[in-house]
Amino acid sequence: MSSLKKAIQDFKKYKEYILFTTKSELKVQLSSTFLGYLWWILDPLMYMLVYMLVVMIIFKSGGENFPIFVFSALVPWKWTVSSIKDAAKSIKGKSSILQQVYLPKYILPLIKTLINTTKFLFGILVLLVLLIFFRVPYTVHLMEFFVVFMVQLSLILGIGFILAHLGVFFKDIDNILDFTLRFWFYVSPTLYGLEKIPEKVRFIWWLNPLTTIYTSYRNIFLEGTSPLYGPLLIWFAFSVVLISIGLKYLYKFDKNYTKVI
Amino acid sequence: MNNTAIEVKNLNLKYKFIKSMNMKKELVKMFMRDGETRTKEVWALKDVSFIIEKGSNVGIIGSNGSGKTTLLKTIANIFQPDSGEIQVNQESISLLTLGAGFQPELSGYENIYLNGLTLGFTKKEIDKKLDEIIEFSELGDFIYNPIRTYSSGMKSRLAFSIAIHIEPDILLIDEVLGVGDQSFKDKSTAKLKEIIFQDRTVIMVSHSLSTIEDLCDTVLWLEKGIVKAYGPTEEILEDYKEYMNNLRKKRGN
Repeated sequence: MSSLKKAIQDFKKYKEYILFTTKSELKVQLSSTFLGYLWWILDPLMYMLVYMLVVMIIFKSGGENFPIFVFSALVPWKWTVSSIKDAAKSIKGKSSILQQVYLPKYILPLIKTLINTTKFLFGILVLLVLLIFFRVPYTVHLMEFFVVFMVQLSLILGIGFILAHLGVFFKDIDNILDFTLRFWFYVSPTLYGLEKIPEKVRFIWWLNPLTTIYTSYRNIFLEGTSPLYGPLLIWFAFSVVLISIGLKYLYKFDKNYTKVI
Repeated sequence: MNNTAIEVKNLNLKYKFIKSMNMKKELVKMFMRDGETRTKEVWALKDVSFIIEKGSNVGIIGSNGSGKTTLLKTIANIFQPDSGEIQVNQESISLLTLGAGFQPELSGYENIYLNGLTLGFTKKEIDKKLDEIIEFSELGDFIYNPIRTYSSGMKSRLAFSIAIHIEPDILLIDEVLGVGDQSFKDKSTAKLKEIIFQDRTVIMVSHSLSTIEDLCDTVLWLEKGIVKAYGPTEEILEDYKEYMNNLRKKRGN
């Protein structure tokens, strides 16, 4: 518990640094491309088109409103992968700064997550436009987006903190992540609905937090119903545990990373 | 009134090196039941203790690999000691660094904020010092251009200007002296000297004995992680020079 307290104290102390670094890294990323902001919109749209092509035309599958169905899972997926991958490299990538200045280490994966969160929110705006385009009505349940958002954010931070720690010591983590994340993508109901899974084994899918998160987003945006509050609460508790484990390690090794990076 | 700035007690610090895994050797080891581990430990600091008084300028000397920089970084809160204590009685302490966190794509102006925040300034403090920093760097309107367009001299001028405007109570310096072309070098060395001679506690690492002689009133001599001597500059430097001469003669034979 004490590392959580320390994290909150350090957050207050480094708030300006966190915000300014997030902003400037976003700015750097924008200035490195010609289209800038447009890529944040184009990127998920392109992916959606690719999967529409594969699923609707080649496999002749996908139900009503399939583009929205895919998009509402694809945007959260992109947010998860990019944040996790960036977090794993976050401490090592800042080694030259860390050799000269003390920074609490957890703010590094946090900054990476905030950068990806900004892009994610852009993706959600695109989704809102797509809803109009596909004549899916807005409902009051859109307000419940923030609940799902908070649960997913804490899940990402939990995984990100732990991987930021591991990323310092295991050189091969990039390769392992590449494979693991691809596997995770296909075992999550991103491109298919849960009803495609035989009922006997369907419970296995619910052990994956993304099943709950995707279903909740689809409920909000597509079905006009409430998110799955019960499972969300469980995954939130799970994420808080991950966050505390991650913070515990990041603070335990706080000034020892600098000896190895 | 407590007059000590820093009190270091029985400080120990080790580096762990992990030898890369060799499959063949690992297999052989499994069969031979060899207990040898892959980690190798090196003690960089061994039982280091000393007290630094407020306002004094301490130079750390010693041959290569004697733990000077390690000691400085441990005091700067970057390394965790394995045992021992460092008690700092003054408010702010920071290592003089050049350009930590610079983003080449951003303008010099934005990089002042980025670098300043990285070094622990608040935005307000930077606002106050901004004009001074820009003026000292002599960059003029270039300050609004991305620093990837700067020459290396311009970059180090900017970095140096930010660094010397930090003014902590305890300043740690690791071989950073004048930068840039001759005229800026003179200006920056002069400014640095001014900061050092102010009522500030300074700890510096240097290989240049003349610099130490010039700037420090006290010298800490480290050898292989152990404090060999600690005292007034003149005395210690004399012993040190003699020791180095003997060492050189031994090597010569």
